[in-house]
Amino acid sequence: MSTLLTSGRLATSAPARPRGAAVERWIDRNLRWLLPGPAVATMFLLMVFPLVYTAYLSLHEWYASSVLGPRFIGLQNYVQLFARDERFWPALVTTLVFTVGSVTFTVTLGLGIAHLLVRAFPGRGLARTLMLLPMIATPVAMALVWMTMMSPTIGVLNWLLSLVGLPPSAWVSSPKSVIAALLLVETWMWTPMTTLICLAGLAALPGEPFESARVDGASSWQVFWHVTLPLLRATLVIAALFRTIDALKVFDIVYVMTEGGPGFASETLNLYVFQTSFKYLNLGYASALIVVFFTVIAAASLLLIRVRRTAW
Amino acid sequence: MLRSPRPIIATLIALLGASLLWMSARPSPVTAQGTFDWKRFNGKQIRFLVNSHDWTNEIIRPALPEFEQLTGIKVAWEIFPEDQFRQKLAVEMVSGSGSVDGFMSLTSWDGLRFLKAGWYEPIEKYVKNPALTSPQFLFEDFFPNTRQIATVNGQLIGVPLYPEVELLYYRKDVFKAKNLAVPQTMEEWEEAAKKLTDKANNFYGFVSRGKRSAAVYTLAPFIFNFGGQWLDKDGQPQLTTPAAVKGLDLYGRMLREYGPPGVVNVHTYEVVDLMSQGRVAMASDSSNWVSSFENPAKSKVAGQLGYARIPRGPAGSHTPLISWAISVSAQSKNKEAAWYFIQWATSRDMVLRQAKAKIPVARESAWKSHEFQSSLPKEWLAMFQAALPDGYPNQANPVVVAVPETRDAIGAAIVAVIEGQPARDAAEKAQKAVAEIIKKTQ
Repeated sequence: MSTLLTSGRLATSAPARPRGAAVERWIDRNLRWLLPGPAVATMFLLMVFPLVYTAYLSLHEWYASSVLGPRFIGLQNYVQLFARDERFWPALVTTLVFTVGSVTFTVTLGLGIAHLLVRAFPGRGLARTLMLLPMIATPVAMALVWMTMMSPTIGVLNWLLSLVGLPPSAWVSSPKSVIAALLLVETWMWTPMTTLICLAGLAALPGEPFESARVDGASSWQVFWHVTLPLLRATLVIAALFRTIDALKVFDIVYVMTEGGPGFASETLNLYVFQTSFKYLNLGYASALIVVFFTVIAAASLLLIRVRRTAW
Repeated sequence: MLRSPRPIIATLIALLGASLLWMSARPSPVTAQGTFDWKRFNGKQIRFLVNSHDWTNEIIRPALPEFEQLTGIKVAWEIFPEDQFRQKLAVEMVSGSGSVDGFMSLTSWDGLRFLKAGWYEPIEKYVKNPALTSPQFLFEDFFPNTRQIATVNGQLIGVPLYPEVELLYYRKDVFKAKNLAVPQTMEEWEEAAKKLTDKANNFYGFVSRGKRSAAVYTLAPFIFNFGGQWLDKDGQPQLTTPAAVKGLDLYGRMLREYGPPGVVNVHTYEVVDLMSQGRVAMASDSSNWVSSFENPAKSKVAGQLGYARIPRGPAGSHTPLISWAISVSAQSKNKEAAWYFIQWATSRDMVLRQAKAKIPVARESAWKSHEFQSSLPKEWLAMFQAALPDGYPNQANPVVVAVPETRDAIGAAIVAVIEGQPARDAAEKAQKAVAEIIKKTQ
């Protein structure tokens, strides 16, 4: 389309401005490079450059407060990280456990709730709107509220437990229960998102397979297991992919509620990177951590995308 | 005929005399300050990066026009919350643009790092120079120990602003009901905590910080009072000495046995909450919290609190003595003008204003002023003043370059001991970690 327009103008203006014509001809020939050019340049500046620069920095020792510039040390940061760092492996395990838990709970619950909300019932619109609230609220504010509720001395949750005769829990204040308590908040906060994705998936399903299943006398459980689930597979993988990436880089609720504590019991990779770069100002080492962290996220994403392509 | 030069000289002398007369007759605060020339840097512009605090916001900011009128120096006073403040300052100083003329720093935290990076202008020569420092400034008016706060590696790098020590806060009514005396020694302290704990009623004998990095500050007196130190003379960690292990063990045990549940997540704000909510009998933390505790709108225990020094051990009673300080930037192009501002902001008049606003002061004259003495509880004032000379300047943590990292390593040991690990194992692990951090960063 644009080529046509340009050639039209070319025909009328060519005799009057030969130099302009040459430029326009050049533009014409290279349009396929020129049009995506700005987008590619932006992409390069905002994504590729920082990534490459981070990888480059990860081979250096550099403290942001130091008067000296970065000092090249080869792969020493990585050796330290994999072989000697006492916080890296626990942080990686915490991140993976948290992610698996978060994806499992949010996707399962999301699918269940979507299944309930997809049928017509009075007040469905209201129910769908209310369900979204945890996701819309500011995570930091919500984390603070949860922290107050989970306070072992003055929190409301332990009071509720005592009402039903259960012993009090330490919630985020014990290394034993901190991950579970954080998963509770995470699930509460992000189930609405998976519900929303599943609702969209359910609404887009064709009606015929369900009808024929019912005609053949399948129970509702059989319909769900043999018809709904296979049809929803693409949707579920998308939901899991989004949730995996989000959960791997979880930051706000953990930072606000525990700062990675007690001790380092809830320190995730992302939190460790934050401490190393912005608290310890150790930018070289933080870059090495980021590179590893990036690899973990990329690997998880690739895995899920592959799952989506292969047969059930 | 050649004209004699005499009339010209006479005219010049007359003009000079007139201008001198005019200058001295000008109505200006200079006359009130004696002979010191406050207008020397008239027309200069300076820029300070500072940490958000009542002092920066409510004492200095509104008074800036007075300084500008006194000196003719224009001041940009840029206030940031603590974390952003440190990041902003680091970015500006590393860029080396020289656009920052002065800044604040918490010397226990930033001191050695800033000194090694060459950001501080040593100010001894300014203080000693009568052409640059008003005779009214009287640096000797600052408590000697607070001057040490602004001294890093033997160099005076600034002026201390609002000092704090650690105190023991206790519930007078609860002690009276149980017929207990205020603990004077570490043994009595643990004993009292034990007797006052009533877990069935959700009431606990003692609370202090249990959260990783924050807890290092409140652990410090436990180590000092048994005779320990953070570092030896060569700057190596001293966490496995008998005194340090004993202190760590006692601190962890008291919080584990007599502290509220979830104490490993307790930062200073939670200490204040638990005390204000009447959930604990004793708390050890910074002296700063007195106004919060005595404010009936925020505290259920206002009027029932007693203040005491941290109970003594075999080596006495020593707490960290820390303060923010204000310094001239070594990169500044207007160092003298920046010093003019600092000596004004920490002058007797300004510090008296600070005292009137109940912000603790480092100047003896302001401390003893009627306004300050009548604004805070007598017992608190007496205990603070008694603890001050025994305070260890800047020892809120080992004074190293990488303080946050070091505090996290020691904090991990504190959490481990609270969780029931043997103090010796935890101390050995922390000792190794801190030694490595120091080796890597210094």
